[in-house]
Amino acid sequence: MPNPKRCMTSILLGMFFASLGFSQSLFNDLKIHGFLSQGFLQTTKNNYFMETKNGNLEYNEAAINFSIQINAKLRGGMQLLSRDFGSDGNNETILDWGYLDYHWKDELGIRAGKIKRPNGLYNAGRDIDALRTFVMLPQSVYDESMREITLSFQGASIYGNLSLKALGNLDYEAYYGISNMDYDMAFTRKLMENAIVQIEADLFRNLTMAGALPPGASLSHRVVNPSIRMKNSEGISVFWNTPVTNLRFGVSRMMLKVNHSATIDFSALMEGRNILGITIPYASCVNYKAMDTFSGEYIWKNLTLAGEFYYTDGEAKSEGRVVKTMKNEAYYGQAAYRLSPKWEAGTYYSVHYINSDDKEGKQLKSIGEPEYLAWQKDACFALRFDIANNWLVKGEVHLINGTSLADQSLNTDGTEKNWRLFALKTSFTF
Amino acid sequence: MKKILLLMILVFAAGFTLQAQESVKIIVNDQVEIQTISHNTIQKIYLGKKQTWDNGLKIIPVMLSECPIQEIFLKEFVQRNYALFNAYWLRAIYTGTGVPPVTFSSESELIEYVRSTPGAIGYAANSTNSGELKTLEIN
Repeated sequence: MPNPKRCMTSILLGMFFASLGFSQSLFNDLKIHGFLSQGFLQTTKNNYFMETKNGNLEYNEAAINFSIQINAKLRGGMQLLSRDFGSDGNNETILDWGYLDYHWKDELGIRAGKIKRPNGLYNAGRDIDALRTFVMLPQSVYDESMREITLSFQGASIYGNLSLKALGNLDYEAYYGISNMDYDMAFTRKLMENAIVQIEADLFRNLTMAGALPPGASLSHRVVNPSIRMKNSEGISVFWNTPVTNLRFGVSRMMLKVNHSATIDFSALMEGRNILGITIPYASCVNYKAMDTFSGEYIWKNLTLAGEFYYTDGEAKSEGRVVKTMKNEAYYGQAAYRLSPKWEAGTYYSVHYINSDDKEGKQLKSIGEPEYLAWQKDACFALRFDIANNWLVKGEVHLINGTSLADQSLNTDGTEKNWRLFALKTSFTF
Repeated sequence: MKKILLLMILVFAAGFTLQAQESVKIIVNDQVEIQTISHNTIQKIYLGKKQTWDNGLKIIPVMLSECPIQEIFLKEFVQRNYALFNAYWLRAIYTGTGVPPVTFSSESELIEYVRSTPGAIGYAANSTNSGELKTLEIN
């Protein structure tokens, strides 16, 4: 079966090169840009997104884009991206975005194709190092493990800028579409792991109570025929550019539904021997009813101040009953200062709660888990040096308390409460 | 005393000349039908939020590459330093949401482009001779 991503890339490339052959003047208007970056992550005590305790260089991006003004109102473009982030991406080239943009008037334009989600201050540009002082965006709001479902979608959007006269103006974009999903994604891996842990715990308890599982026996599992599909997603982003120069506020909402199913073959093992086999079909619907971000940004001379508050209201349902709720809450405050044309310094304080109803981790503690799995508080200090207009290097240190965003499957021996992250990155744009 | 006075006048004159050189004028192609423009409209044009003139003509903003005049223009009319302005447009380039202003390395090239391109808007030092090109009044 043809890969839909590759098909779309081929079609867009075909359209592009066909259009180039169609008109010499189009060729003259073709713009080509790109970026290359390489990063390094090291942590103390806990692994973060990948095996980072001994340092990890599996952190790079390379992209090239083509855009063309077809006529006064119609523009088209696409970007190919190759990315490695631990076990995600693995430098497979994908279509990052590719769409046609009809700018009917300043108040209303339409985009159709694969489009970056306009969410918060930084979601759409999260891969572009040249845009910010920091290597890592505040993870409380821009969690890398949610990247694949929040970064872009295939569908359509309407956008524009509305004048409010003396009250400034509004930028808006509203969209509807879906994102391709597969089992290589951190989000889907996490989703499946959560489901299996729950089913396995229920099965273990039931078998033990029924006397079918002798003392000392353990369960292992194998996932068969997994399927995952985003049913739909929609959202809106509105930013108010106030009459105060360079002061803006925004609100963004994303909503999405994901269906996933699998058959899980469980085996009960006793001294290495398989003593029992049970197959359990599993189907679940994850419904994020709201993923809301409230944003504020103020630029004064060389100082940029920003802050965002984010929360999610979601639930996973299986066989009609709610098996998990997702009520994250997060916020951060950030300041960046351009010290000179070459140097920039920045800092942020970012806070994430995995469950807004259990910010102190009391529920986790009651089931024997460390309470600090409930939160992650991150103080980051960063320095950026622009070697040239299109080449930069930056580094930062994070002092972190709590591990709500640290993947437990990368820390099978458990996590520690207080830890540090060091990040270095260099990036070249053209 | 006379020498000191003369020196003071020279210093003042030099300062005045520098200040005079540091002002920027906004120039547009003849087909742009307006005579005046506001700071706010210029900012919206250079941030890609306003792309069409009131007569329907597409706006084509143009800039000078990094130089003192560019710095003055960005500070006065776009209210951003070069690094922030550059980051704004890099975001648009790498997310596909916009195309940055065309850039020229000299005022003469920029003036010639504005003269020959319908809908074009640009800037130059006040002291630069831009010939018959329309200069907009700032309101």
